[in-house]
Amino acid sequence: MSLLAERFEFDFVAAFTVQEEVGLRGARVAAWAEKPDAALVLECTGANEVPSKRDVSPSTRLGHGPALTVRDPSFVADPRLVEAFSRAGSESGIPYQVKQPTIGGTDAGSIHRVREGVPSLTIAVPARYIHSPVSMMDLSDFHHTAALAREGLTRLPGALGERGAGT
Amino acid sequence: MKDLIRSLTECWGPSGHEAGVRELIRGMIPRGFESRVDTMGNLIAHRPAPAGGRQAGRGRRIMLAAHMDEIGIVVTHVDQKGFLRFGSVGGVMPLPLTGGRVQFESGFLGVIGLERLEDSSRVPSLDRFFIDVGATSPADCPVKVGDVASFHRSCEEIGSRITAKAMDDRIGCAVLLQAMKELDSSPHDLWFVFTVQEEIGLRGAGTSGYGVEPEIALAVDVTFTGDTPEAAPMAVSLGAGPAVKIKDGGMLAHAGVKDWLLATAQAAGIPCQREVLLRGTTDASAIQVSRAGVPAGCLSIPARYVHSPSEVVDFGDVQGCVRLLLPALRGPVDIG
Repeated sequence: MSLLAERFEFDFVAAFTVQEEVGLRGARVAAWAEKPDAALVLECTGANEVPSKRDVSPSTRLGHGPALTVRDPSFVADPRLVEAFSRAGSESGIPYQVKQPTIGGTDAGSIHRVREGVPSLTIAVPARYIHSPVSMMDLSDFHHTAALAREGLTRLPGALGERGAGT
Repeated sequence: MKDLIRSLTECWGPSGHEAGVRELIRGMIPRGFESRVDTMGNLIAHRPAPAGGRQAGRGRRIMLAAHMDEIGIVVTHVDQKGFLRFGSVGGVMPLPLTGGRVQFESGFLGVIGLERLEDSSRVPSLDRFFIDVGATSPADCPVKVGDVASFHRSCEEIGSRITAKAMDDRIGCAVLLQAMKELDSSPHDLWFVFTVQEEIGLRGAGTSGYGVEPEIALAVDVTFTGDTPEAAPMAVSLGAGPAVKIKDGGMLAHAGVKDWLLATAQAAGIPCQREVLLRGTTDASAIQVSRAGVPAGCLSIPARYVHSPSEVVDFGDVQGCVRLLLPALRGPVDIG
């Protein structure tokens, strides 16, 4: 909602989607109708920082900033968008982390395949105990996610040129 | 053509990271084709029908697809001692992994190791493996979470066969490139598409099928064989010629497209096989259901040990695919 107060150099469409949890269904038809040139999905993602003997990934951690999804089972983020939003974080001093890339799935999974394809990226607020009756996030992650979305979107014009070598 | 196969299979390009393969192929596209890269990263090479060809009703809008991506791994975690944990990009099988080598985009190599197992008679899951990149801590580790790697394996000849990583589906890319080079004349509006992200859900084929909007589509990809010791029954063998797909796990080939290929092979005296594959599918299944539907089929190159680091094809089968595609595309196409 905070992004709606911003003014960007491009047409900005905010979609509040339905039926994500049962198969990313609302996002697909919304993207078909709106024909976006790029898509940013804002999400909440798991931070599985439960005590464990094994030194394996917690996926994300609370308090380490918004989680960028470079890929997950539902999609591969467009490398130009990953670059633009990473740079936005570094240059604006907003912390961010990279989510563990083999779990989850978001609306980007259906949006990026609509029509001839839509360059997509997901950024997420880390939270513990998701998909249980309680979730817990760190307020600083929430504010940093909004800030990163804003800074990244500001840099969007120019980020999506012709795909050349390396992208 | 063997040099072409070598350069394509040894090129680095797990799903979602096909840029290097795309540039390699783009540099080899023959004169007469115009190429562009679409939103998803598919490379689309187009040669219009000759003047009058389509108006005379002889030429069709035909799309041929081979995927540029290969399976690989993606880093999920760097532990305190600098070892990597990883997940699969596409259908990676745990069995052939231990002791194998992987390569990251930057060129760094890693060796795959395996935890001590309580029961070594059972195939372990991927989360029991790790990668050693020579690091001792996260601080000196040259790769990070989200980086992807391919198998690291050279392309070699063994008898009349060729073995390499990523034969699936760079061999299809090689067949398309060779056919583009040799196809002197055709009445058709031809679209050769080198797709992305096939191994993770036929994603590039779906969007390029939408973009190209073909009248007829043909994928060129590998298929399994049933000719190895105690193999699952399958009536496809290495060295018996290209295989014309009847069906696979995701598609029934359009009967007219299938018959077009079989009749062309018979008329040209090219030995070929009929393929019924019970699992797996190809780009053709995604193109088939794009927009309002596309008559689609698949020309398959028989391959052993698919999705292992050493896939094996027969060079005669590969040449047979090219020899079959040329007359198929030179004449009028009637798919009923």
